[in-house]
Amino acid sequence: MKTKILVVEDSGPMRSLIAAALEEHLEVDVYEAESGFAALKLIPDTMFHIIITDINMPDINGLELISFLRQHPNFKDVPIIIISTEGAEEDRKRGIEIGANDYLVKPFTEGQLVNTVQKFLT
Amino acid sequence: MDRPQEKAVKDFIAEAEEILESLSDDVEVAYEQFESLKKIKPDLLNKIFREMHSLKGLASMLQLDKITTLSHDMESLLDKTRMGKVKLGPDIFSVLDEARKALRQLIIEVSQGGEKLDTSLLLEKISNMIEGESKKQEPSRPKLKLPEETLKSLTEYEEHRLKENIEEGNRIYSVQVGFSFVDFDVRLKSLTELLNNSGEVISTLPVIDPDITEGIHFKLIYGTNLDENSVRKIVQGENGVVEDLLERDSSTPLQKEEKKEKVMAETAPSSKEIEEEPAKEEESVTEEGEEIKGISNNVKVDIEKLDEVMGLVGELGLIKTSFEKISSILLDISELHDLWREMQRNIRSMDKKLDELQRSIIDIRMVPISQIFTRINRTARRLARQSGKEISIQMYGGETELDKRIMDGLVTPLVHLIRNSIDHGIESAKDRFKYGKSPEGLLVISAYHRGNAIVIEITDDGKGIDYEKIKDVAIKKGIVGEKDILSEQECLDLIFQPGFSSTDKVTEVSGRGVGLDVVKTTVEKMKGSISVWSEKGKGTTFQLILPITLAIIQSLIVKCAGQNYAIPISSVIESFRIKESDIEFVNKKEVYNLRGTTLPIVRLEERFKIKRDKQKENDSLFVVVAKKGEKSAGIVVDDLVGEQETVIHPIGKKLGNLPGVAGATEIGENQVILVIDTASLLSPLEVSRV
Repeated sequence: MKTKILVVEDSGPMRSLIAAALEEHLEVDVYEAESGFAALKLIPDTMFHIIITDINMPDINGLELISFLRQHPNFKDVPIIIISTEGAEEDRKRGIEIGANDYLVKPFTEGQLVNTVQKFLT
Repeated sequence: MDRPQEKAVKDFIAEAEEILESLSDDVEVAYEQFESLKKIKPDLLNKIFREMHSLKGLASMLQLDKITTLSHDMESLLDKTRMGKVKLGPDIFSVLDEARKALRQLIIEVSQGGEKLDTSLLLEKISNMIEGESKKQEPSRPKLKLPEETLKSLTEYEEHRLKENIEEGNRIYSVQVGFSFVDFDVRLKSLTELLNNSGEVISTLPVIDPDITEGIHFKLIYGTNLDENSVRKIVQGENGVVEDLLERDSSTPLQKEEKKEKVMAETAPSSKEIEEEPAKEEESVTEEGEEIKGISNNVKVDIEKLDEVMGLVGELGLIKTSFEKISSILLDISELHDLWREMQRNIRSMDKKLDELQRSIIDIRMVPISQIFTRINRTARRLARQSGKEISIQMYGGETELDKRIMDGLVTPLVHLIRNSIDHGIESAKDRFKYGKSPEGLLVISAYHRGNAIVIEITDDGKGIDYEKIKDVAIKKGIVGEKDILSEQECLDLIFQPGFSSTDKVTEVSGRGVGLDVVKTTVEKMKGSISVWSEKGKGTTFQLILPITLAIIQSLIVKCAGQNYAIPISSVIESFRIKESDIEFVNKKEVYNLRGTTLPIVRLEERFKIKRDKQKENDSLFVVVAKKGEKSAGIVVDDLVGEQETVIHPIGKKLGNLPGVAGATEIGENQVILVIDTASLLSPLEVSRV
């Protein structure tokens, strides 16, 4: 079974870029959600191995999503990577505190993304 | 550029355009709010901030530095504004407007190869605005009955909104609601909208509760001046549980009472509530239905793809004709007669299906003109504001549908005409008052269908066009001779002449602006026509007539010197039979006397330099009266073949510049014929008004 990765990101082109990069370089299946709500809809039916999420999104924000996932029995321990344009140390700290495993600041290169995700592939 | 990158850029442009479009709309609404209320609703300001933010994220991934920097700086400014650190004022709107324009320009430049626009001045202005404001000290986090975990997952902005609400003296409630996974998004959205009508949903937190086994629950943090009971009423339909989050000092008896009510809301509703329930349910079902439809039924398609599909339909049509040929061979072999009949039947049904397919594609290409009306309305209001005149802008017929391609091509000419009306048509309030008119000028833009065409009219109640002055200018410019006698309408039509109104001086005296000839050319390129009428002191109307679609047009097929041609029906007024001897000569030019008017004559074979077989020359001819704008000329042909729906294909560059040719089309039997472009065919002629 291929590793399933969920990318939660409200910008369509950005999502496609990420999905394309991951599927090209890693043996993974990428699922896309354009909002926190869309991510919540996917969660009851699919077990994701890694979740990548933006912070600033309409409906629920990424931090709220992570906080929810960390309480969910299926996603307590799933690696979560934040992708955000906010690069300040404070933002990073906040993200990790709430339960993210890693933090990537946009813009990142394809290499940075692939390397970060690879760290969590077992 | 490698392919994925190229695709990414293409995607970027499409999405960036969309973001800018909605940003412009939001800024316009925000400006109206600001003008009347001196503030903007927080969710609207937040939306504008988010749009800038999305644009930045997008551009940064593609290393579009100028767009990234500009949108980043604008985002910071908007962030400070929504956080209350920068005061909201007219200067914010002016810089927003500038940034919006610069971003649009940059996006266009990206599509043409690279960012060029110098944004340094604008960036400096933005950074001055950000730094010029003193930083307000944020008060410490208020005491709320929320777990630390929950407070942590609020973004800085949500925290700020929470504080603002408390400072404004609002109550803060938590509203917990549960939904099924299937439709929670839609139901939550309508509940949020309902709550936002009398307050602000500050944050939406998904909740995990060990007691909850089904569906998903949310905790909404809600700021409002309503009391707890009223909030409970709002969320009653969704069985929401309301809790007051602000710790009050003297509220113990009240809280007890509230607790009781909370239990009621959670458990079975009272009999009175049961009566109300069904109606509410129904209402929300239809509302949700609408919303779901909006999300799932619409597909965005690149119009170029539809052009491709249209081309394929044309090719299928050609294949169908070859089947017909094969079928005719079968007819000759008597033992295959049954097969022939079978084939005929199939060809007929294929023909029908092709026809349906073509109609469906055309249908897909149709969009309501309201799509550009919003944009045009915005521009018109801005121009009106800039001109300092009081102008009421009215738009009618937004539901009128036309081909997407034509609609896109219409924006520039329409804006041009509107600018003219505002700048030169409508007088200042002072002048209007002097002439006994209402001080507020009126600009009406309307669209409607007329037969197979769409009519768009732009009418102002301004000063009208001064015929005499136009004629004077035209004489000076050598467009008409001093002794030429022109009717009022002919004078008016002069404003569309190239070179007529290209200097400021002319604009002043004629009362009409720059480059109407350009508008005319653009409209004619889309197989449309433009006309104008005006009454001095009363106003001016510009009328555009355009085909509903360019993809398919009804054509008159004519024969001339052994060749078939298609003439778009939209430019044909009438056709009739004449004799060669009916054609007269005036000033060495061929004309025909049509009911007392002199109709100039065009011969296709001369235009296209085709040698006519002398023996076949016939005494009996046909004249097709075609119009060019408001004028017309007669095209002489040998025969009228019939009417047919034709799909116009553009033809190669070599033939593309041939005047009088609009493209090519297939008319069955594998025959490809030229489509006549009457506007360019007739343009070198002295055409007459009929």
